[in-house]
Amino acid sequence: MERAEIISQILAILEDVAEVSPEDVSESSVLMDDLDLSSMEILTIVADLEETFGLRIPEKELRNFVTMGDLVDYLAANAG
Amino acid sequence: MITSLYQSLCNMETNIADRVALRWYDEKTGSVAVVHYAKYAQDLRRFVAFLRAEYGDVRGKRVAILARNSYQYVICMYGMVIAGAVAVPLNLGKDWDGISYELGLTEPVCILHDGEFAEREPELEKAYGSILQPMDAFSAYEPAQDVTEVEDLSALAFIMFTSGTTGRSKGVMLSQKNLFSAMPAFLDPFDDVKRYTGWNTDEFSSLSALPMFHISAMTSLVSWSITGHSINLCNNLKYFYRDLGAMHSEVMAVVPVLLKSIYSDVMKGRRDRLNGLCVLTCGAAMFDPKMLSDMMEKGFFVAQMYGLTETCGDGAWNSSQEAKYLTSVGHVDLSCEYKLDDGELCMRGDPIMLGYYKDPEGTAEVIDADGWFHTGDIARVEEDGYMYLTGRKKNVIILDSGENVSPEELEGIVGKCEAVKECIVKEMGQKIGVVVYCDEDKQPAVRDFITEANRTLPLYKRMSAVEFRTEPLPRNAMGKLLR
Repeated sequence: MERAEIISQILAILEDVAEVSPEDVSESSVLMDDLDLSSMEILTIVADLEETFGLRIPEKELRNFVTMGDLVDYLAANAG
Repeated sequence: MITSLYQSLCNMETNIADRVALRWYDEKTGSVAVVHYAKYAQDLRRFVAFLRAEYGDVRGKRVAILARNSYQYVICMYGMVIAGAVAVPLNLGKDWDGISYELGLTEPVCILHDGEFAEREPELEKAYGSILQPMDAFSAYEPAQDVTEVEDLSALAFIMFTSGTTGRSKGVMLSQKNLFSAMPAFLDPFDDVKRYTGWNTDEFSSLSALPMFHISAMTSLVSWSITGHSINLCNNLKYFYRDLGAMHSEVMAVVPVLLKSIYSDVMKGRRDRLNGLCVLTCGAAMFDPKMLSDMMEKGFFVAQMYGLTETCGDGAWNSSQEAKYLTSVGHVDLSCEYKLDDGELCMRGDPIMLGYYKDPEGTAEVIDADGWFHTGDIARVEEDGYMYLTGRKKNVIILDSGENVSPEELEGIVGKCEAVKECIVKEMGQKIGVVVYCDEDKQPAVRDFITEANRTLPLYKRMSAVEFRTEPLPRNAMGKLLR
């Protein structure tokens, strides 16, 4: 899947779950700092990403998701 | 009146055998699994048979659990206590350093695990491979028919770890007597809901989403099984909405991050996602009063609970739906005596822990010679009996997720960055913040160091706000950093 397409899907989920405006997000945005996401919001976003991309994200990957770029990298490498 | 897990087991087999005990979403079948109390009791007996067959006389021996919430978790935790062993439920979110300390301290004869921690932290297998057992090991055994009451209900039954204030966690020792003395605090509020709302609470189900190593999940599993109600297990918060949608639940214990999520659904007109949820018990941290009152206006029954691991969850309960009491943790209950000592809330009575495991000095710091437990919370009690928490004496950060975090532990991590001359970790708004004193040109490097350090921490422990100082941090007359 194209990186741009992955980003647009994540942006849509971020807006739906946490009312984050797409223009406020860049790949270097830190999820819990710049985007002010709570741990619960990150979990909900991950569940929505699993559904959207049809994959299962192992629990141990969650620790690596610190920035927006981390999410995009993971999905670029793992989503079909 | 049920006063032990063995009596509860007998109650399951006689009075409530046909009622649904637990439900959960089964990933393999993609549907909801259901277990009745009769089967629950049989599996508890199977677990006793398993422990005896594998480890002989387990009385007083520690058995650890390192797993995500599951039906097997429930069986393991209560089955081992019925067998006379000591349950040590560990926090799956911790790293190897924290878990190896707790395993070293408690020296379990067996560690029941589901593989998740071992996959992330291979050291577990290397150090303890010979005593690891799968969570469902009991299922191969026939139920033990000769189970009896343990000899001493005041003996150690659970070790629940809580964040210490000096870095390492502390093992809170609880007996069955502690647990069952605290039960009125969890059972009586049901009557308040019924009286206030007129709802028929007899058939209510509760969604249990908090981890079972947490005192509130541990106690509510017991209280709901005493009354024969059913509990719906949400085994992974990631799938909270899927599980809530699949299992109709009226009641749920929430921490602030969960309430925020539910609140946003209600306010956005997405209440159908909540599938009939109508009673929220709020605990483990401070809540936004506006959020609570909005939820009440939308027809939710909102209650607040105050308790600590050291008090077996006992403390205060606020089921008033009046706006003027929103910021109160409520009335103290009758299970304990209460007093304020220089403003600090102290409790004495049967629910109070036996002490901290292998830590008589730590115990003496919080339980005085007269048996008063010093909570570390500063409180004020009004003439009408309502209690308000106004501050904290102990140095611990209580997060919106309900987790308690020791600032010293995180300061130790940040301090490993060479450029950091001094640092202090503290609450900043709803976040964990770090104040760092370092040279100005080193600030980007320190920020990067903290971002990388966050990758090694569970979500709830991440330091998400960083402030820099170019002057040394303020200290008190004793030379200690001011918080």
